[in-house]
Amino acid sequence: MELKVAGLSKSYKRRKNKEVKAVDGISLEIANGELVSVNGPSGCGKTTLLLMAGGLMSPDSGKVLLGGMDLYALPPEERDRERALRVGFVFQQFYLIPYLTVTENILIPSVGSGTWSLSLRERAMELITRLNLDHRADHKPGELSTGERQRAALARALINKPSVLFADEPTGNLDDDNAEIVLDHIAGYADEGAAVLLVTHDRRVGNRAHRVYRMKEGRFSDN
Amino acid sequence: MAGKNNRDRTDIRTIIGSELRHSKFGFITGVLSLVIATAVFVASMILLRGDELATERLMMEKEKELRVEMVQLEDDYRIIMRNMGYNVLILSSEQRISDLEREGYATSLINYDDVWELAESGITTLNHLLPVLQQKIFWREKDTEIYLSGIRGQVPVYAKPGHLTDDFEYRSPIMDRVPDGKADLGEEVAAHHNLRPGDVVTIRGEAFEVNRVYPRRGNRDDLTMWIPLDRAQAIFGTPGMISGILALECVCATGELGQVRKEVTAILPHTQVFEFSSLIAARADVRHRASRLHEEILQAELAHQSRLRTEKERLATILIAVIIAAAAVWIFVLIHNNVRERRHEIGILRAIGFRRHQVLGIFLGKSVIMGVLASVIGCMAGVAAGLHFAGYPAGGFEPVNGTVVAGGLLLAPLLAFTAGLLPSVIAANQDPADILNEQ
Ligand SMILES: Nc1ncnc2c1ncn2[C@@H]1O[C@H](COP(=O)(O)OP(=O)(O)O)[C@@H](O)[C@H]1O
Ligand SMILES: [Mg+2]
Repeated sequence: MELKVAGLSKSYKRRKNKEVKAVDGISLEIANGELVSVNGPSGCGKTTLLLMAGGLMSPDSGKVLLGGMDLYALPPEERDRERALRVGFVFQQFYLIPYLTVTENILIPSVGSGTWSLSLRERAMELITRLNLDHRADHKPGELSTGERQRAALARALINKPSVLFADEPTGNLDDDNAEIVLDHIAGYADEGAAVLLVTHDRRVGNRAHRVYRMKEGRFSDN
Repeated sequence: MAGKNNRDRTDIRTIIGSELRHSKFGFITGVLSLVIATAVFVASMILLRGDELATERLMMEKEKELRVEMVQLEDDYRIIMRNMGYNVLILSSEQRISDLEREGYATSLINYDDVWELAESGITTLNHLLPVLQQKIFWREKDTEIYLSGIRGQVPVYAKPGHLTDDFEYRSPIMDRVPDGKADLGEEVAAHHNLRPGDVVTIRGEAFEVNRVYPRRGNRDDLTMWIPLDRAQAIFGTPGMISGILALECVCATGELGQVRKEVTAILPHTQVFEFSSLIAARADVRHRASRLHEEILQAELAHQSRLRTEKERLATILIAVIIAAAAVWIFVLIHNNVRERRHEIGILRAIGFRRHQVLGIFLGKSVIMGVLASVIGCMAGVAAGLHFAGYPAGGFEPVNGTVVAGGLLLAPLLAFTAGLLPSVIAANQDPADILNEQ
């Protein structure tokens, strides 16, 4: 199993010491080449689950195994490194760096992981072409349409060939056409052999997912 | 489309560079504030240093002035002393005092060359050597007795060039030389015979035009006629000879009476020396009082300048401190705002594997780059402004020293680093999960 999540729980402290159980004992396994979709309404805990699974947020309890490695048993710096090399993220808000060009944005993960190389540049060009961004390669994000921005963000997530791709509402800001394109590419990346976790309440995911979980109030509901 | 060379490499520098270009306002105002801080620092240091140099120069000029004044004072003093006469008399060792008393003049002569030997001996205890040939004679033409003195002007002591003009003449001789064919008269001689400058007198068959008449001195000078030495030697029939040498003792010798005597007789063994110490003591006193006064004036001026400088230094310190603090606050605000604006980017950078120190490097690097740029511009501006306000002409770099320039070059980068450190650390420590979890 590329990604294995076991008994993950997380509570947030609200004001007056009221606790909100955002994720409540979730277990999940994703194999290489598999696209798993977690669907549910806003506030059910999808983002919290994804951040924990992606190594960005320590769970209150439970484990995350990435390629067999216990992520939260690692010291934080090691965890950053593993994330840089093996994980890709796509978010609803894209989070592109506004003062860098599309090409630079796509290459930015190589700065964090220290993996810059000419072949990486070639891969960036290849992704730009594949995602139909050729005419936008030297543009800043501000000059792009939302669809182009999300495609650029997706290219950035894929530049290091991560073994696991996490996507949080990647189509939340997109029109139907762009949503189709982005979902197709995400599904295509699973077909290339990666494990993909897609959390969304978007029904346009359709039958691209190999498995679909419904989430409600921090738990997977049966059915 | 970008080529595949190393220039296209994307790294931290790319991020910093693009970000600086992207937020020009922050960049320019940040650099500007640091430039101002650096320039004010450098310019103030140069102004203070220039001030110090100007004071030094002023003091040196004052001292020179005082030295000139001292010489002037000595000259004045010499004029006073002329009325009291010389205070050293050198006569032949064979001269008996009883003869001197009886005749009223020296009866044993010495060689005129002796005065030159003394002048060139390097003796420092004597000034104003005046060779004199004098006799009391009966002036047949006027039926009266006078003192007839042959003088040729004073012979400089060559070891004491300070009192001499460029022509090796005394600045103010005690006794002026008598021009050829002329005669100077004492007051009583002139009054008694009703003589004025321009009149012609004959003595022993030789004619002299009256050159000047001295005011009354109340001593033997009033009964004296001065003529050129060689004419006197001819009249007396004693060519190459003189009665003696009058001299003025140097104040430096007044501490030890008898010192002059020892020195002179060592050079001219066939002579005897008479010193008149009361004159020496009076002279020394005048001079000491004058020099003490000058010392006091100089000290007062020094104290005044030093008070002024302390005041200026305090002002400069306050100014520099305020400007530096303002620049530091501005850099802090800039970087802090920048960190807040870049919150989401920081979150995503951390999510995709940027380490804390890399995020720190981006923000700190930015402020240090501003600092380095500002240090160069600020230093140049500060040097230019400092020299301008210190009133230095183009090309005058006297008050610019290495310490000031080094301080100026270090100030802005250090300032930017310090001010940028806290917000940069805050940026580096932001939890990416917190940021990415915000909707
Ligand atoms: N940082 C937080 N502090 C407090 N409550 C939070 C925080 N983040 C999320 N929550 C709460 O946790 C629950 C799950 O949130 P989230 O994981 O963002 O759900 P989703 O992504 O499905 O909308 C929600 O009730 C949300 O209000
Ligand atoms: Mg969410």
